Amino acid sequence: MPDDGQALAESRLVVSRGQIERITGTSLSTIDYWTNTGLVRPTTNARITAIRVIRQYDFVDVMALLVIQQLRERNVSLQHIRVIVEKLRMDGFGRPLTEVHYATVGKRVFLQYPGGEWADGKRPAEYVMPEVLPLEPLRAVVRARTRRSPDSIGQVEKRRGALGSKQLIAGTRIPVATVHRYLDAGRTEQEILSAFPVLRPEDVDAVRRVFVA
Amino acid sequence: MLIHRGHEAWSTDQANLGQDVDDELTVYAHEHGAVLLTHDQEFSQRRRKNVIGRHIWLECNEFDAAEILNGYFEDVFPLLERREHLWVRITRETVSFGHGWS
Repeated sequence: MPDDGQALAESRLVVSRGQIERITGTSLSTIDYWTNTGLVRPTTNARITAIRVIRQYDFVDVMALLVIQQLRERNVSLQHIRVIVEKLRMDGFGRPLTEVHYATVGKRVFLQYPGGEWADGKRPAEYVMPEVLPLEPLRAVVRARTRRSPDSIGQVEKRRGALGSKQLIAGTRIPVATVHRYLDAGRTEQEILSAFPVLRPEDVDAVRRVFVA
Repeated sequence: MLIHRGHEAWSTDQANLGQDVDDELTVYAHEHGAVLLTHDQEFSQRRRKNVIGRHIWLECNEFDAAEILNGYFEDVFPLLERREHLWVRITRETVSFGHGWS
């Protein structure tokens, strides 16, 4: 279980539709299908103009996507997963893919409730070794994949639709000009890194390069 | 300053929206009942054409922002509490606000 600091950090984190494929490793068309058919329900599904819908998946949504992916890799059919999810929703589970523990034996799926009891009294027979689907490693995967990509460090970029397409430190929404103002004002690299914890020394160097060029 | 006053405050990077566009951030803040703080004129101007949620445009440099926001906080906070969709522009000299196109 995450500690309070981690839980707070996870509660603030979302993954946009534009990032979800990279973070889950599942194709966007598949995730859209799962979403459009109600298998997963993104925390945000908001229409902001006639043609623009913003879809955002929170931490638990992303874990749910990874649970589906893992069950599919164990040859559990999508139809079977859908039946399980619907049943759990009817039983009052708001986040059915992450609130219970899953174990599989072949294509059979066993569900263990948070209290430890098995759904419908069905538990894996003692002489078989169920493959338990542990959630903690999935939690770690989401945390790791939502960190800033190492490839972006020390780079600058422009992004359409972000801050008037001005030059940004890659992988962030921090304008190059902002960091330059700090440098111009005589702030040290350490002060800049404290003000913008997501930045690395290479990013400050990149800003220096932009303004020397 | 905001945390010192007992509010929660976090960055776009902590929301994992560092790689995303303005609309994503707007919707995120609205869904979280949060108020966006920006120094960016383009962000604010674009948002004011289609006001969604609440944002404050701090038209000042980053070093003065906390002091200026602190100075106007008692005026601005009740406005933000009253309106679900609102923009606020704060400069050293003045505060202006609206909830429609500007």
